[in-house]
Amino acid sequence: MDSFKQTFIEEAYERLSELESSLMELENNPHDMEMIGSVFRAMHTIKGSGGMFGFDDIVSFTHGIETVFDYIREGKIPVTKEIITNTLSACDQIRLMVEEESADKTTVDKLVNFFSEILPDESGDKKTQAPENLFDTQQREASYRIRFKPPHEIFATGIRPRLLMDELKELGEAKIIPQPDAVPPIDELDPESCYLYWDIFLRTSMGENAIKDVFIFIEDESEISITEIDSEDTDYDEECKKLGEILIEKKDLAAEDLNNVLSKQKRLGELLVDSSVIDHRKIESALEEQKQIKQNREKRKNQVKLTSIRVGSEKLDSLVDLVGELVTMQARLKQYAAMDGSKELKSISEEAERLTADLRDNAMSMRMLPIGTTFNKFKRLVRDLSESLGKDVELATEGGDTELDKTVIESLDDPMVHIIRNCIDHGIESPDDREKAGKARQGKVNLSATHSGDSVIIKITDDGAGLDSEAILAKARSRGIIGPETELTEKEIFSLIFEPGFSTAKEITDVSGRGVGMDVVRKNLENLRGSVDIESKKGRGTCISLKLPLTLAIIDGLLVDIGREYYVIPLSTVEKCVELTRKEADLARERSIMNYMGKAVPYLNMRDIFETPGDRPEIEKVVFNEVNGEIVGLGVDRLVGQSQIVIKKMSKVYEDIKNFSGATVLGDGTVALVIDIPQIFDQH
Amino acid sequence: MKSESSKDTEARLFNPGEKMTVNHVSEIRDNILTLLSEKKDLKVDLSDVRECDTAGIQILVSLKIYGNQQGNTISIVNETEPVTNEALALGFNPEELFI
Repeated sequence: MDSFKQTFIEEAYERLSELESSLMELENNPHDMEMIGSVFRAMHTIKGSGGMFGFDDIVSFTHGIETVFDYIREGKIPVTKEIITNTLSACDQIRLMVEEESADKTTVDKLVNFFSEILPDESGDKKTQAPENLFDTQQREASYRIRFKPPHEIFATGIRPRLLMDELKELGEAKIIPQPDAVPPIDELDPESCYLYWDIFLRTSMGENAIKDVFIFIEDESEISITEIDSEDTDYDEECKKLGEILIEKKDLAAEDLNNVLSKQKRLGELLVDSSVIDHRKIESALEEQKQIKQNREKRKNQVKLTSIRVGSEKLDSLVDLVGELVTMQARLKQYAAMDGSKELKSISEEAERLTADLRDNAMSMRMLPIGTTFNKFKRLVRDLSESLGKDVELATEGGDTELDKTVIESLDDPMVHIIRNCIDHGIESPDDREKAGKARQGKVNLSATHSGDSVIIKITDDGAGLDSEAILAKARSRGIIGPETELTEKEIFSLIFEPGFSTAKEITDVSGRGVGMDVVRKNLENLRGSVDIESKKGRGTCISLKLPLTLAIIDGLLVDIGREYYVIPLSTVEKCVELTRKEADLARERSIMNYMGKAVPYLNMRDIFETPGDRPEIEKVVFNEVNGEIVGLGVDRLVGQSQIVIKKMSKVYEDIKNFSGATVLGDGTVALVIDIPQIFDQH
Repeated sequence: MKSESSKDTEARLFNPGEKMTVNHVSEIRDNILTLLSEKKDLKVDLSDVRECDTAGIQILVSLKIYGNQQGNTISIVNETEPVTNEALALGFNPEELFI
């Protein structure tokens, strides 16, 4: 696909998300002028860029809706729930048009009719616009020079030139320059005839037809010429260089000297007026034309300067891969320099290390995106879902500017959809039930994101009914997930909802209740090296916390030695390290539990898991890790140290091996496997 | 509509009244021409104008053109909001028109 078109498509998706978000904000605050302006601008941008890439259907469709929001902006019609709903529906159709799939004709026709019917006439009454008028436009912003010479008899027709000028001003930015040179002196004047005519410079995106429409009742009797003098298609660098610029560029003349000479020289316009060969209004008219073209080009030039460059995500992935290779190579260089003992080589290695670290940070920062975009997507989900379930739910977000690696953000969509659906379907009660429980009729779901070390915590909180621990326990027992006598803490009971096939919903709806959600949530998060935690109070609500690493590509790892092989434990999970004597270690292995700050926690020795041959060390190290809110201990031979780890995917041959989430190449070229702690504890 | 001599400048003073619209411009022109036949210079006082349209503005423009051609001193003063608004809407610079 044409890369420019691809860019348009990506931008259109972004604009549509923003638009949906603004619409939902507007639904809550229908008088928010800023939000009304934001909707109008988003619609305008989608229309404009759609036109540039030949999406005529998008142009005509969005134009009509843009017009409606223009009326709203001017206070001529109010924001209603109907308008919001139909505009949201229009967003769905525009998305289909962007994807070059056929929009649903019946829906589009319905929407076109709806928007055509709500525009008022000047008296404020509703009137039906012919859909072809409302939904027909040109899309490029362009500057026009309009010469309007009304007929002498215009005063007698009742048409007031002033009203025509006002209408033109409504189309865009207009500069009106009257031309009185045909007006006779008063002793020759027929005062009931019009001799005045006008040059109008209009910058508009409404197109030439809209300008012609202004003169529709008088076009046959008038002299009207409409000339496009500049448009977005014109190259802003097209202007020829002036003599002075060439001389300065060639260093034949100093800029200061040129300015001195020019300051003494009269401007062409002044010379022409002084010599009485032309009226000053004609000069003013020409200067206005020149000014408007200059402004247009400057505006476009600045837009180009300010616009960031879009780079395909695969190129960024490739850059991060290469930086990863460089980090590995640099580690080898550092090791070699240390062994070699050469001061010069050591200095080069240190310099390379600094540059590599900067490059790595830069490359990683390019992949970071604010999570707010993902949050905004859920506003629509919440709105549609609560409507279909007959509930009233408000979604609030916090920390939308928190940045996460793009891969992490992309992988978050599904888990969060599952959680939010569950919140609304099972968590939030119906308005009547809420009222009976002494709560506000409107339920609340809150999404928040905060940094916590090298992780991000995303919390999805609702003020619904909360989890019913007794019902969960009963269901788990009836399903055989736990034994009839097993005693569990409340936290352990809540974590049962992440078991495959678990659901306490009394009814299966098309939203949720099939028990195929929360286990997928946990699996997805573990794949992202994240974890999920749940807190709930019956009758008060539930809070689900997702802990995610900032990035997946390069992590801080703890390098450990197990039977003279190196392994990596992600440092973000490490809570504490302790030493055990052989006797203590044997006891822990036998019981599979050990003491952590006065509490018994699960323990696994990695030699046993990996079936490593050879003698065990006299002193064993135990690394305590936090996994899904619980502490687990991993027994290893030796701690090697902390290191930046570039994670590589394992090849397909090894993809069935569950104990590792990836591999990395160390400075000396050896390979270390990254231990997947949740998987290990799941399996053993 | 009234006219009188302005003592300080010796110019004739003309007040077109409340309306400077297409229905009144012929009468205004006739009155102005009468005054100009009596005295070279003319001061137009717009302080009573409550309604003004394009024809009203055009007659002022035409008067200024006449003054420039004949070398008469024509001053247009005390313009009211309706006059200024109409002039602005038609693209005229009030400072240029009303002196």
